[in-house]
Amino acid sequence: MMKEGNFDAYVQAQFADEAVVPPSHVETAVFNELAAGARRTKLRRLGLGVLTAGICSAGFYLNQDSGSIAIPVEEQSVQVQDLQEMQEVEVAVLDEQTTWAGPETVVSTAQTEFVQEEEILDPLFETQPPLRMEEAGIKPMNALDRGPSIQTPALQIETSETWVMPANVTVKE
Amino acid sequence: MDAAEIHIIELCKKGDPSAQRTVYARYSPMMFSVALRYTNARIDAEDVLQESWIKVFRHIKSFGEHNSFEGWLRRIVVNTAITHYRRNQKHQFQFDIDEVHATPRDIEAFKELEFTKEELAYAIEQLPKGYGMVFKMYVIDGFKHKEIAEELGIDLNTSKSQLSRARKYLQEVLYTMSKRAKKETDSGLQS
Repeated sequence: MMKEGNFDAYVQAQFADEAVVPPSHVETAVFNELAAGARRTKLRRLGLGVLTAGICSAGFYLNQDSGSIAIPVEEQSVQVQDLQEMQEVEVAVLDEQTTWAGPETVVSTAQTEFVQEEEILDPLFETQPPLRMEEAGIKPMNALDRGPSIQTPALQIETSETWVMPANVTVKE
Repeated sequence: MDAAEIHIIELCKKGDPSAQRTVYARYSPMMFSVALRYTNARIDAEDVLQESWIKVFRHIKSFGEHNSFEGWLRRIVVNTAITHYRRNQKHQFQFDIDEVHATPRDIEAFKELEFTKEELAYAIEQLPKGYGMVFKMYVIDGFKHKEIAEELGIDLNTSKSQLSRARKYLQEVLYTMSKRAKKETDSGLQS
């Protein structure tokens, strides 16, 4: 009896080296399809390149608008001074603060500011000149009408012609 | 593989059109015969061949030089033919098991009859589709049962049992054919 292996070998031998020439239109179709595939691949790569470039340029312009790229950064050089120099500067600052402005200086500053305001408001006052309190019929308030007396802080008490400063002045480094 | 074949495959990997045409001319007859074996009509075989060559040239970079190029091509054609067959027919290979009631025959009886290739091909075509597919893949194209199971989406044991039944069925068909041929010969001699 023929065994399975022999039967298989018999059948296989019949079909070995079997060859049938295909029609020529198959070859044409295969190579046309390959050429079209190559074109598609090229176009896809080109499209991806354009898309990438577009995204990059869009990102660049968006960042430029928000100012994160265009702002020039100025670097401030920090020079380390000697300890002695730093102490001298500290002392000088303290001296300036102890001889700080008296009331005249403050008043004069206020006056100059007021003058400036008057200059600004002048056209208004020309048409309607300011009235005095008596002319306007305004009476000064009685002491009883006032609210509870507020104790004036020590800083605002005018003991002499100069203002009193708080005891200690500290200067931060 | 010889050096010339390796060289031409390398050129195909680089996308050289003339090398592709050379490979096509060399292997197309073999591939077309395989496609014809796994399809019902010549037009289907042409479609399978075309689809197979597109696959070959698109995936040729994955081909290793240590393997048989012809075997690789043959597998691509069979795989494409199976996909084509499934797409068109929605055939379920497992359902064929109970369709056939083959009787084992002593093949020694028609061993010397020497069937022609056409007669053998005719007998194979008489097999139910599932059996025929497994038989052709295993016996003619040298697939392993594991590969057949993967390709056809069936169990490994199903592949083995279908092959066994296909052999018995084929022997039965060949026995019937030889009996008929003998009868025709006898009647011819009498007349």
